[in-house]
Amino acid sequence: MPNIIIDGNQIEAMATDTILSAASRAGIEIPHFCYHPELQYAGSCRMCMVEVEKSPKLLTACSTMVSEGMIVRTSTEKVKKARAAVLEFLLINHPLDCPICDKAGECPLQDNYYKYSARESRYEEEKWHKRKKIDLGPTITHDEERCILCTRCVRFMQDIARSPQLVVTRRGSKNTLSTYPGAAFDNPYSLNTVDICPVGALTSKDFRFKCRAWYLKSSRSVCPFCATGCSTVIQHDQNVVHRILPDKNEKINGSFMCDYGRLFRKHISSENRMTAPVIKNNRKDASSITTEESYDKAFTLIGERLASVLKNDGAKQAGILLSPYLSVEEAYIILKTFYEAGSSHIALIDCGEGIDGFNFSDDYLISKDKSPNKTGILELAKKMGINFIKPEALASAAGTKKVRALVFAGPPFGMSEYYEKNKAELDSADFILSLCSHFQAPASRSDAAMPFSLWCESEGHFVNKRNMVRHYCAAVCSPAKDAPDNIQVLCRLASLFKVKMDYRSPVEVYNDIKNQMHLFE
Amino acid sequence: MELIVSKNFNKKDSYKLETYLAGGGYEAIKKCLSSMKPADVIEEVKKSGLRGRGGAGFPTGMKWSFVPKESSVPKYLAVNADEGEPGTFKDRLVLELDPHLLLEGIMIASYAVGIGTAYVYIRGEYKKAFDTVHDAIKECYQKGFLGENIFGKNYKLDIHVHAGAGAYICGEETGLIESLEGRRGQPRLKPPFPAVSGLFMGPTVINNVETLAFVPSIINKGGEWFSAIGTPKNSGTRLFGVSGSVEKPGVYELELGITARKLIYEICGGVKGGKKLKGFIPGGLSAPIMTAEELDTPLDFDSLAKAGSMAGSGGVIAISEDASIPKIAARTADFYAHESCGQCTQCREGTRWVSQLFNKIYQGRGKKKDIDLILDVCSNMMGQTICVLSDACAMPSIAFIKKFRHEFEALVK
Repeated sequence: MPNIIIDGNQIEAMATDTILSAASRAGIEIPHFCYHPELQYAGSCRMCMVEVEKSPKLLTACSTMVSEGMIVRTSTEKVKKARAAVLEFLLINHPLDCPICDKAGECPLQDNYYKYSARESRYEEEKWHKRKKIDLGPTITHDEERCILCTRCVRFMQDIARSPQLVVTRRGSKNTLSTYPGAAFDNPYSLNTVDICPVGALTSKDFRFKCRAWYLKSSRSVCPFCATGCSTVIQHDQNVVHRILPDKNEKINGSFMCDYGRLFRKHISSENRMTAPVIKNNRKDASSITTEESYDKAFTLIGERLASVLKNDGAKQAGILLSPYLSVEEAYIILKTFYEAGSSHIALIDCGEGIDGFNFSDDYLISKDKSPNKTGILELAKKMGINFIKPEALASAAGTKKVRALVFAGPPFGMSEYYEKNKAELDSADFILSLCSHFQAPASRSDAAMPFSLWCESEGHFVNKRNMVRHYCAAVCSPAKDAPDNIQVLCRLASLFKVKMDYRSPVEVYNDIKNQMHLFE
Repeated sequence: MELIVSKNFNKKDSYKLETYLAGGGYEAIKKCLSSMKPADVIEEVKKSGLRGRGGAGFPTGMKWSFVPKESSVPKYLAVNADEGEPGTFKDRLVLELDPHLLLEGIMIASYAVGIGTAYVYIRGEYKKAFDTVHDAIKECYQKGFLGENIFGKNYKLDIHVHAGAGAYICGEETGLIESLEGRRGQPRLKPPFPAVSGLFMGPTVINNVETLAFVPSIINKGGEWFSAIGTPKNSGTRLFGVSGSVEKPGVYELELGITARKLIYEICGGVKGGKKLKGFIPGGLSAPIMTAEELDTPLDFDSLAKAGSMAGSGGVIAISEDASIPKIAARTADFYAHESCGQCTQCREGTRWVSQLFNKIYQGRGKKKDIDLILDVCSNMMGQTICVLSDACAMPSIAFIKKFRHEFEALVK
C-alpha cells in the first residue's frame, strides 16, 4: 500500500491507484474531461495535470500510477495556469451555445470553466465551423462543434460495449467524431455515450430540447426492462418522466445501462394510460355502454358481478394471472388472497425473451429473461406452497368453464400478447377484471378495469436474476386522479374474495414477507 | 575526412548487393555472429559514443541496453524511415543509394538486442526508397542473409518494409508504433516506454536510418575509432541536409563540431546570389532559428542545445536577408497545425491558433498585442502534451519572435 501525500494530506493509496483515483477516494477534486473511472485512460485532454515532486513536467493524474512517498500538489500556480490554459484552448473552437445546449447545467466543460478559469477568451480569430445536427443513428444527434474530442464515447464503444462503432477521423483541430461512412450508430448501449459526453456534442433524440437539466428532479429506481435489474435514476419534472439514466452500481451495471431500459420511459407517458376505473355493461356486446366510475362505485359493482358469477363456489372458480412486472409486495397480496380463497388457477406470465417480438440479449446487461421480477414471484410462490399453472392452462380452464371469473393483475407487457393469443378461450369467462396500467388488451376487453400504477409510480422490490433484492421508490404520481396505491387496490380486491388484508403501505407488506416468510432479507 | 555513411553514394549501382559486397559489405554482421556476444556489440556501440541521428540525439548503445535481455514476448526493431521534418532529406539517400548498409545495421542491432523481427517504416512519399529497400531485402533472403540461420549461423531475422501514409506524426516513435500496428497514428502515453512495451506489446528499439547506417563501420573499426571523430560526446560524422538560400544545397557528410559558418560559406558556397544571411535553422523546422551572429556555433548536439536550439535531424535551412521571418513563422505554424494528430488539447487548438495569429500578422491584419499573445499561447503549449509536436511548434515560434521581433512589429498596427 503506497503512502502518498496529496496537497499535504497523507493518503494510503492502493497499489493499483493512479493519482486521480487515489485523490478522488480521498475527496480531493482533480478536474478532468477524458478520464472516466470505468474506461481505459487516454490522458489526452490534459486537464488533470498536477505537480509531482521530482518531476520537472506536470503529470496527468489520470494516467500516473502512485508510488511510495509520492508528493503531489494539485493547486499550485503552475497547475492553475495549465488548467486555465486547457480551458482556454478547449473553448476557442467551442460554439459557446450554452443557452440552447441540452448539456447546460450538467456540463463538465461549463462547470470546470467557472471553477478553474472564468476569464474572458483572448481568441479573436474565426472559429472552425464544423457540422451540426448530424443524425448519427436512431438515438443520437451529434454536434461536431461542441465536441472536445475527449474520446470517452469512442473508448466506451470499444471497451465496454465491445462494438467499436465510433472513431475519431481527420487530424488536428479538424478532428471529428464519426462512424464508418454510411453506417448508423445503432448499438443498444449508444445512449451511454450521451451520459459520459462531457459536453453537449452527443445528445439523446429522446431528451433533446425537452427539458432544462436544472428543472429535473431525480429519484433512484430499478430498471424493469429485463431480469438484470440495473440501478437507475428517474428524472422528472411536473410529474413527467423526461429521462431514465443509469445509477452507479458496481455489483450490477457499473455506470451504464442499455437503451431499451431508458426508452421504457415511453410506456410511462403513453397516451393510453388508465386514468379512472372503467366498467362495461356487457363486455361481449360492442355497443354496450362503457363508463368511468369512482373507485368506491367500481369496487361495489365488481363485487356484485363477482358474486353473481361465482355464486356459492367462492373463489374456486376464479383464476388469476400475475404479471412479472408486479413487485414482490403486490404479488404477495395476490397470491395470499387467491390461495386463502381456495383458487387453484394461479398463473404467472413469462415475458420470455422479450415483448413485442423483441428478443435481443447479450452477455453484458441485457438478459435473455425479460421478466423483471419472475425470480421474486417464483420464490414467494415456492415459499407459500403455491404451484403455478401454465398461462395456457388458465386459458383452457376458462374455455371449459372451470374458471368463470378471471383477474389479470399488472402491467400489460407480455400480458397483451398472451391475451391476443388465447382470446377465444379467455373470452368464455363470465367475468374479467383487469388491474392494469394501460387501457389496452386485456383491460380494454374486460368487464371492469382498474388503474394500476407502474413501478415508477409506486414503491416495492424486484428480485433480479441473480437473486439480488432491488428496492425502488415512487418517482412520479400515477396519471389516475386520486388513485389509491396498488397495495390498497389489491387489499380491496382481497376483501371481495372474503380475505382480510389491511396493509396500508408496501413497507408493511415487505416487513411481513421478511419477518414471517424470511424472504428477501 | 573519411566518409562513413555516404561512402558508397557515388558508386555505380550502389544500391545493389554485389556492389555492397565488393566494398566489404556484411563483414561486420559476420564478425558479430562469429566472434562477438550480443553484450559485446552493445558495449562497442556504447564506446563509440554514437548518438541518434533522428532528432533527440540519444546515445544508441544505451537505448539498446534498456531493452530487457530476457523477454517472454518477442522483441522488435522499428526503423524510423519516416523522414518528415521539413528541411530534412538525408535518410532518403541512404535508403535509395545504400540500402544494404541500413540492412546490415539492422542485422547488427537486432543481434545485439536479441530481436527476430525488424520493420522499416518508410515515409509514404518515398516511393523509390520503399522499392529499393524492398528489393534489397529480397536479395538478402535469396542469399540467405535473412530468414532462418542467417549467414549459416544459428540466428534468425526477418525484416519487413512498411509504407507510411503521409502523416508527420508517424515519425514520432510511439506514433510510428501505432501506425505499424494498423491503428490511427497518434503517440502513446509514456510510460510504458517502447523499450519495455512497444510494438505489439513487445520490448521495442526504434532507431533512425542514419544511426543504424553507422553501426557496421563501428563494428568493423571499433568504437574507439568512431569516438575519435568529431568532438567528445558528439562523436562521428553526420549527414547534413542543407537547403534554403545557399549556392550548393544538398546532403553533406561532415564531422560533428563543424560550425554553421563553415558549412554554409565553405561547403555550400555561401548565400545564394551573394546576399547576406539573416539566420539559419540548424536541425529541421522544429529547431529554433539562429541569427547570423550565431554562425560560429558548432553544429553538434550539445553546442546547439546550449545555444537554445537543437541539432535535431541535421536539416540546415539557410535564410537570406530578403526573406520575411513573419512569413516563415506563418508557414512553420501552418505545418504543425496541419500535422498535429489532435489528441492533446494544447496541441490541437494551440497549433491552429498560433498559425492564425502568425498569418494575421504576416498579412498585415495583426495588432501589437498579438505578438505577445503568441508568446503566451506558446508557453501554454510547451511541456504539456503526450508528445513533443506541440513543443515543436512553440519553440521555433518563440524564437522567431524573440530574435526578429522588429519584423513582426513592423507589420502590426
